[in-house]
Amino acid sequence: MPDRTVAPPFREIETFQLQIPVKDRLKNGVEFFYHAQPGLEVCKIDICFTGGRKAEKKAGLGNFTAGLLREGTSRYSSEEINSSLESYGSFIECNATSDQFVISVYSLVEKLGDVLILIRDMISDSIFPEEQLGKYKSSQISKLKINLEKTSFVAKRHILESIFGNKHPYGRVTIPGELESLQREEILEYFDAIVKNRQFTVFASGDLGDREIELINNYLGSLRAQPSDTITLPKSHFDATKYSEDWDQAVQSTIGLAGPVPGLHHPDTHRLSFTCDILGGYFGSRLMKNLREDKGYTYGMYSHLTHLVDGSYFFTTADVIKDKREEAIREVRKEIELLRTERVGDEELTTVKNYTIGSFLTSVNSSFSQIQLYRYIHLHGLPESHFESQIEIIKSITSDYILETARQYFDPASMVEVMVG
Amino acid sequence: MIEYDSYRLNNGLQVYVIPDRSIRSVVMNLAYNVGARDEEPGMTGFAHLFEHLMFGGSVNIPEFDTPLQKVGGENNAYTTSDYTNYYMTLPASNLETGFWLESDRMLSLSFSPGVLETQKKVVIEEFKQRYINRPYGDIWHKLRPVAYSTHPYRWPVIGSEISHVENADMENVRSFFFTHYNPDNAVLVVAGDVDPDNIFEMSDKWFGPIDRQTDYKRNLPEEPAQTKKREVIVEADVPQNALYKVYHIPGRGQNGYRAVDLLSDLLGRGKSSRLHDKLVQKKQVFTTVGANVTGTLDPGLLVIQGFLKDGIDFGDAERLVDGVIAEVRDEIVTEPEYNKIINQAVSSLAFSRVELLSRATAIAYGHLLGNPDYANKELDLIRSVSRESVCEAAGKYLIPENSTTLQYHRKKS
Repeated sequence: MPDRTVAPPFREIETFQLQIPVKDRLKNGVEFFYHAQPGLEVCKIDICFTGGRKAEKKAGLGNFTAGLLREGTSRYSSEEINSSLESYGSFIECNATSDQFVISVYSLVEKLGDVLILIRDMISDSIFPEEQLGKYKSSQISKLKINLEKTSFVAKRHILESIFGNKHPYGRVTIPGELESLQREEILEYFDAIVKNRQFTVFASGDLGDREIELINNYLGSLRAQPSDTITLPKSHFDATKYSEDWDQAVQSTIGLAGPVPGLHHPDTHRLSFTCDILGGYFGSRLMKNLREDKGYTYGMYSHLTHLVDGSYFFTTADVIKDKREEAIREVRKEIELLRTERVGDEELTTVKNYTIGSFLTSVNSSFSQIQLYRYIHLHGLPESHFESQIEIIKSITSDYILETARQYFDPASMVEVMVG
Repeated sequence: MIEYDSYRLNNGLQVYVIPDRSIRSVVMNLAYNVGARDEEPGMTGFAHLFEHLMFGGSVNIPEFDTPLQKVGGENNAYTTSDYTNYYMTLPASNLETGFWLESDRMLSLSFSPGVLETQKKVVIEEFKQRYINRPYGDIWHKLRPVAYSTHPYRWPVIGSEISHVENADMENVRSFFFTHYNPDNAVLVVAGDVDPDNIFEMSDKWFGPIDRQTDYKRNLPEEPAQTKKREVIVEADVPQNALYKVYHIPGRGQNGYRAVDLLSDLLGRGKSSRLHDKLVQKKQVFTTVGANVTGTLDPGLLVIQGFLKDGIDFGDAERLVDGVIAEVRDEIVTEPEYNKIINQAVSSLAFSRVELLSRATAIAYGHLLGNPDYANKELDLIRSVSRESVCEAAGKYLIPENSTTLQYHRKKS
């Protein structure tokens, strides 16, 4: 019988090295990055346009354009596009994220050529038929109405609105009435400005051989790719006024704290992210231990740093027992205060260091995840050594640094508090 | 094709290894052959509550998560009606820590009363967060007990009511542990940057000394064939009327399952599927509609679910769904449509093999089905379903007397 009271010896975790993808250009000059992983029989291609939701003149335009992109071109009807894609066993996801408009193509490599013919057509010639718009509207409105009955959704919306202000596209909330009023012309205008014949970048991974590279070059390389107009964003305006909504019918309340933080290019960014991890970045974090494991107030509480291209913020939320919501938010404040007043012990520091490094290393286990990391670096204009530096900085971080970071950037008194439910 | 090596310990623990040297990390997937179907009707939700307790410390190790995090690993678990799965990923160099932790909690838990009390609260909050505090969250609480009269699938994994979780005591915990958490009732899959012989050796070292405690023979009541259509009507404060129709179908691994699975794709997967095309696009009675199978080991359900457009009558919507089903039953599926559902299934399978963890889980799941190589046979199983058998499945299973309908009405304000 082995001695079970002693843990097996710990071995230093190898340093992570980002695999740099093949960097190529399509014949139209578009940047093309890819990682090949033979034998999978499938591949994924992300086609990324600059803009996303922040290029919207009205809330909802990016999402509607994305949702309707497969609903018809001059040549193919909605029915033809969808039944063709489905008949190849392929699927696509179109999303307007905060900063980008992204078409992700998932396909058996055997069918890639057929799929790309359609994709090219959708990018260059979508017509957004009025009839499809009507249907899409009603389904989006009903989804939004369902979401508006979830405390967590309403709380998160309010957090974004507080951080950026309701004039800023990152902070603007969508209401059913506004979606109802969206016009086909407005969608076409957005499509022309961001997608149609506009500059894009391609990130591909999976079972990519010469044939597949050639197909991508033929179909996506023959699109015109003109730069889109520069987007001028309104100044964001942080409003830390406490926000609460009481819902009679809710059995839980969503509570949260949030505030703006420096972005990825700031020299303290890795320390900031590490400090956030200590607070609520993993299952054994302080928030989890206190609110879930010790008090049982919630099923789970995490804290996050979200980095958008034009703004970054910290937030932590949880769905908690309604009667305990005041205690819960007090505990969250207490945990943040603690980070600002007491040094983190050696044991905890080692745990979080190894955990963050290890979990990062183990999360990268296919060409799909490798290329996602590269896409992130590319979007934010970070050096290719970004993740390696992050790991080096984490290894060398001390409890003094954390104390300093928490004092400088995590002040509960200047955060916005939300409580819904 | 998933290549694996296999080894069985003397105490009955089954081990599989999937070497993949292209990856720097390791996945350790340990599945116990116990799920919500093994619960007593008065103590539903227990298998899932128990899963939470598995993280509350074992006989020699006071806490599960911290030592794992210390070596750069992370983990999670989930409970289904059929089995309970624990999985972790960690850097290959620290794999032995995973063996140490997993084997100690298989040996025995700490059975600490404090842990039980806290996890009961946590699970109750999970119950509220997922099943009460959101619109339509209670669908399966309403539907399961009507669709199933006898089989334990008649309650959801979270439990049929909160009081069952509240009433759980330490005696229940001990007896559940010693009945189900035995080496011969588990399957371990290790995948990634590893050497099979080394894994077998480590398995013997850490899991070998654990003895089997009791003999549990699963003996679940079989669900009798349904003979009459069943209906449930619910009214609640939800934004939109919703219609659910479920039909009894074979269990995964049983004859006929693959054909029904493809039938559900034909009916309700994607925009070109029959239901979406006819009832969302053309007739416009639903805003969304889809179909899927529950895919359980014992006989499961084919589920059709849709949100009704405002002003549409439930009876009309249901008749139109029945009409779509009748067409599948009475007319042969066309060649292009057949090719479509095969391509969709083949593609989904290929995508599900990209990540290391899902390959490991596929082998574990095959083992629970009685054949680890099931994962490698799935492609042939899909391709061996004929056009005729998809239509036959509609005629055999999608009939009114085999169905339960749930009308979820929006409360009029």
